[in-house]
Amino acid sequence: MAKLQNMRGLQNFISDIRACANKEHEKTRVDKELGKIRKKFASGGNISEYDKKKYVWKLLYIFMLGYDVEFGHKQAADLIPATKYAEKQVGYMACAILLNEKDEFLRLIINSIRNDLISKNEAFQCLALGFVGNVGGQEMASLLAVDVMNLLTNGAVRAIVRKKAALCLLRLLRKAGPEADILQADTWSVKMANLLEERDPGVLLAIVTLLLGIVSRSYEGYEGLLPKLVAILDRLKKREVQPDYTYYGIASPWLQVKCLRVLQYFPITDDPALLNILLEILRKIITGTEVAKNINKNNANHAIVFEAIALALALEADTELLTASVGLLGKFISVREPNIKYLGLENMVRLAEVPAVNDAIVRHQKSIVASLKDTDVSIRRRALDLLFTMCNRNNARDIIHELLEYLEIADFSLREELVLKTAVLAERFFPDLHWYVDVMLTLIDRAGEFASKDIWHSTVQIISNNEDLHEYGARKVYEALQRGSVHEALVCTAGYVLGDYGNTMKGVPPSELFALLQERFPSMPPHAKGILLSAYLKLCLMAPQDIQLKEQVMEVLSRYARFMDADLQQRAVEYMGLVMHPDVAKRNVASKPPWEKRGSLLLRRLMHRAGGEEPDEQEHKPVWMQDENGDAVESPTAVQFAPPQAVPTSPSANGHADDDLLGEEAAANGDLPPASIPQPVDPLADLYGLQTGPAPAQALPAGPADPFSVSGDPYALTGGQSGADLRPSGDTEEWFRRLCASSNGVLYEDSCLQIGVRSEGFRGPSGQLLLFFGNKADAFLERLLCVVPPTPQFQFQLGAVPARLEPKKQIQVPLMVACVSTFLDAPRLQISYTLASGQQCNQSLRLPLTVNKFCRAPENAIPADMFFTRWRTLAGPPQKVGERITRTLQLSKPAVEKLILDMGLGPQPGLDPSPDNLVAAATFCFAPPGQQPQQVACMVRIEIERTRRLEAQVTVATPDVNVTASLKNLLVQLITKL
Amino acid sequence: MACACSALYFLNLKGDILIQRTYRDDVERNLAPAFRSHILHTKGNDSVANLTPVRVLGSCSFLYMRQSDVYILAVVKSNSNAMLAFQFMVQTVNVFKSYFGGEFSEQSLKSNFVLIYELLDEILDFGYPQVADSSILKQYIFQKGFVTEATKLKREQEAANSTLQVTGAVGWRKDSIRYKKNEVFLDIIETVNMLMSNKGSVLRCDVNGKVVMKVFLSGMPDVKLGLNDKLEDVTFHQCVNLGKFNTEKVVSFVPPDGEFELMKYRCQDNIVLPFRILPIINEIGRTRLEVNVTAKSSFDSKLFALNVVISVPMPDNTAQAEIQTTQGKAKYDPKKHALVWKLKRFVGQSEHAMAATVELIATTREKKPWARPPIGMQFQVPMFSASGLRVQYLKVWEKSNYKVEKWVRKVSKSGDYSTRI
Repeated sequence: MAKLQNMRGLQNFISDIRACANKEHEKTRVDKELGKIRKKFASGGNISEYDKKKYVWKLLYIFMLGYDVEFGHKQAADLIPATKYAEKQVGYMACAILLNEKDEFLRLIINSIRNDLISKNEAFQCLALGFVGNVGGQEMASLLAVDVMNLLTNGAVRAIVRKKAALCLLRLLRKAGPEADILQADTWSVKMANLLEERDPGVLLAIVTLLLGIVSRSYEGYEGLLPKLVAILDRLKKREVQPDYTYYGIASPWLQVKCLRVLQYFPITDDPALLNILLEILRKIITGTEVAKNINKNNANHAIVFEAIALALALEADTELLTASVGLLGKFISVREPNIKYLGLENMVRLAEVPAVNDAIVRHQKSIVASLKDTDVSIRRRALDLLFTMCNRNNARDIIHELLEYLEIADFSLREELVLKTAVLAERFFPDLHWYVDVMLTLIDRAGEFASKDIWHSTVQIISNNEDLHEYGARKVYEALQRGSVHEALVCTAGYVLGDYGNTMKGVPPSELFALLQERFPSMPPHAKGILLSAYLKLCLMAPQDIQLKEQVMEVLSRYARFMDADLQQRAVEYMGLVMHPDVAKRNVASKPPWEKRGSLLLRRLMHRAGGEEPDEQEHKPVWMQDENGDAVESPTAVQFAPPQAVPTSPSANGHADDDLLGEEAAANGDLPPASIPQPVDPLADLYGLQTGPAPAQALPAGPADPFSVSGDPYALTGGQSGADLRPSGDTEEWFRRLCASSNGVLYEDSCLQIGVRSEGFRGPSGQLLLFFGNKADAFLERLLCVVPPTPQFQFQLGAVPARLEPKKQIQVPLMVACVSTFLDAPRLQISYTLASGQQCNQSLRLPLTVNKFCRAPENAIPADMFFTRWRTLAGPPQKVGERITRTLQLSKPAVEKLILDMGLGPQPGLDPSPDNLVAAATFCFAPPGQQPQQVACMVRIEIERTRRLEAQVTVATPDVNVTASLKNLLVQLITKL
Repeated sequence: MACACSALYFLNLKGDILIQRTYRDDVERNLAPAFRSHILHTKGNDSVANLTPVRVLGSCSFLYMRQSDVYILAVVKSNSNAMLAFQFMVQTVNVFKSYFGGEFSEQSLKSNFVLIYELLDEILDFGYPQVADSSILKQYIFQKGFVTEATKLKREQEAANSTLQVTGAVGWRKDSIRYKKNEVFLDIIETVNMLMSNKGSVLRCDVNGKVVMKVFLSGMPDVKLGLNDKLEDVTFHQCVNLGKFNTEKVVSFVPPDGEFELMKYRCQDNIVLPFRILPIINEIGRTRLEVNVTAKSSFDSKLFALNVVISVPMPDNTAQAEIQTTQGKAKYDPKKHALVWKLKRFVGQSEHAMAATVELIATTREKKPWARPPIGMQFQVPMFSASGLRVQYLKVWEKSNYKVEKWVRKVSKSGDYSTRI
């Protein structure tokens, strides 16, 4: 640096810049200087090393001021081989600052760096190591790692160089990627063992840091180092270090922390002697630490203690040690200092998962509860976590009581989580059902809008599943209503419970219940109104002799018979019919059947929030086995019992009511397996289904698992004979996938018949499919039938198909298609024919009318800001859904890009900041009959995992739930099989 | 329609307050920090901040403009007329200039605090603009602090009259003016804006002109000015009789005393362009440019242009340039990223050329394609009117029928005069 004083030009320049009054002056001064430097550099070879150094310093200064420096890298690199330290120094510094590890330019200087590494001058070695440690990338890792290792293991080299070498090697190790094995465990572990003998704590710290980097990948092969690490710790605890390395009387706390952390990566050692020494050290740390006055000393001590506790947990240490840890943390929690409190709580959460120390933690319950009222929100959150984790059967009553108390004062950001956790605890540990119902109703009452649907759903579920709760629940709800609760969740609960069990309460006439509910009716949202209407009907049927109630109910119903919400209107009309015919109603309106045993809704919800973490108890794992159609079948009001005059719609209301509880769950949960998504979630889908299909309430095909099974197919044209011995000669799914991304190809083929498809004029709401039927056999194909079953989402017009097809002849059948609404599944084509030999073929084929066929790619590139604004407005499921794909073969970006293009989506290169990712946009078009065509903007993002390229994440965002789900499923299917 | 300016600030380029006056208490006392942090020091594109002279922060609107090294900022709370506010600020600058001897800068503001406070009290009242005419203000706000008794008495009389005058029929002129020598100066100053494609076709072209007069006439003279052209978009000084102009196309007025701007106009048709630039720029490889620029003057050969500057933009990585010119001097200016060619004198109906070989330095990064900004040009052509405006007659009529000396000048200047390359 001494030379720097002599560089007048640089000094003048810097003082000029500092003297500038404003940004414009500075810019002109910088421009002038850049012009001068360009002129000097362009003039070629006649520029002295001194000038070069000076100008590179200036460039660095300009770069640091925030201006772009687009030249001079070569001159900076030229300075690296220089012989003078000052020139070499600026060369390295400029390259480190101006270039990044991916720069092509670095290749040119690798050789000079290597020369410095193997030179005898340790100043040069340090510069080179520092440079590689800061910008070294994959290429340097493979070329320079050996030299760096030599420096590290060479005992003759000074400590400072070895320290740098260790850290440089760590960087190279991290950059090299897992597959480039620059450190072989078998040879390197021996060297590491030698290195750990090092006495200089500074070098040792660097080496242990390197070791930490190594074992965080894999500890295999390094187990032999355990005794060495324990020895180091032991030495440190006995304070056998130079006074330079003691910090407030603690021997190198950094080294202690690193050692403790490295030890956490190893499995528990099977050498009992070693384990004993280690545990003894831990015991000393945990029991021997006292709170000191000096804050720095405290910080150092705490860092060691926390690592020690983590290690004790990892070693599954005895209860005594852990109890001591709990005692120590308990002290931390009760102090006022927020940082210590936070750390205490956080570590306590980890300990709370060990059942043995639970009792010890419970002793601190008071101070933990007090932390709930801390001013710092992060501490409150930790305290809530801890209470949730430490709760058990014994203290559940107290803790839940505390949480309910706290709920009234908790701030809004915490409430949703608090409500959910309280509900889960109540569900998990409830001592008796009455208490549980009390807690849940209090929650719903107090938490207002923060109580998610699941909470009142599960309350209703519990009440209706336990007969002895019917009256109790109804009375509680009734009392809550009398107290004046108005919240939607409570009113919905009340609607269900009072509707079904209102008559179990003695002395409360249904008319009073009706009055209580009706008071809240006007302010409710439509779906709650629907529930209340059902409740009214049931109340009315409870008291058939109460004429006045009947009149009141009829009045409400007749008002809603002309309501604009189709669902409410339909309910009102149907219920009016049922009220008029009590005998019919009695047969059809029954109370809810008990729920099937299944997993807790709440836990699923909590897991969803926590990002899919496994719950700690096996029995709480979510099991989602119910499907909605199954429920409808079990409902006592299934369609076949419905009398004709009551219209087939009466069961649907109950079926729909069930959907309220069950169906939305399916829609909200984005990570269901794709196979179970495509069932319609539209509450009225089953009604519309009546007009199109034969029996909607019947089980639909058993799902895509076996799409070709004839017997399970409701549309099968010839039932009975299942001896279909004509099988497709290839994979129909594979043909279908190919057709998704191309306009023509084979749809189906067997030994006699081949069906080809060509699609024309899509990329909008309508188009035409040309179906080519070719008879490959030498015989006639008899009774050829080709039907497209109508679906509400499409309009079809199929050309005439002759009943018999001559041998070796091909016919062409046009199929006009118009998309009427968004859809989840591609429509199907039913094919059947018979051969003269009696062989028969029945096939149900998916038509390649996938969502992308109706998509139009944008003509121009979409501006990035527009795309991202839209992307962000679609916050999450069900509009924005992602899925991870795991493949066995590597995935290349061009292949995916081609697929996207073939599918007709518009890739948007350059939109995503990462070049490995792919972003596409398109517009899905459909035309409802008699209306203007409508469009749905679709956005797709595909992220390919960078290193191994075996995984990819597909995310689809559209404003429409159906389009999102179907496009995502399609992409996942196609990319998985790409 | 009122301005209702709540506070007026004068700040230097760093955003420090030089002087400040609050007229209403509906805004907070100190808004300068907000202005500094939200408007002056917004990161990124400086030009955007400069392009939006009105910014709304919170409930206040900040209207500001920059004049030399001073920002003038009007803070308004109500829905004010922005044009009026800006017109007022421009007028304030003019008033200050006339008081400070034609200079308006940070320095001149700093050395005239007392006077400025006096002026600020007078020109705005409760945020509403009052008298903003320097000739009237000077009758009762004096530049020099100390005055003799006699002049004081006289001035008091004048000040008393000034209210009469402002409210009278001819508010802009006193009737007791006497000159020994009666003279009228009339200047036509035109600014030519043009954008030409590199093929030589004119894409956009207009002329902004103004007529400035300096009048030293006794009594109450009537002046008539006859112009040759049908003008578009004319605005007149308040002294002009608009009725007469509409019927007879004669500009007839009783002039104020001293210097004033009689009229402003704009025209877009039949414009005579004084210069044409023919550029040829070839990129040879990645590191060399061949530049040939020819400039042709198309005005009369008896006339000449002064201070002609042609700046040919160059890529950012220009290292050095070898330049030859037929006249004038040219060099590469790294501050402007342009070859700057200066000609002191450019005779009409002539042609000059510049040829340059420019060396670029190779950049390590992927080079952004050069944006090729247009060539800019500055000039002044005396006695030339690009719009073709001519004064046909200038008549002065007064009761005493004295002799008047009349002087008429013309000059055309460059505005935004650029040619694409």
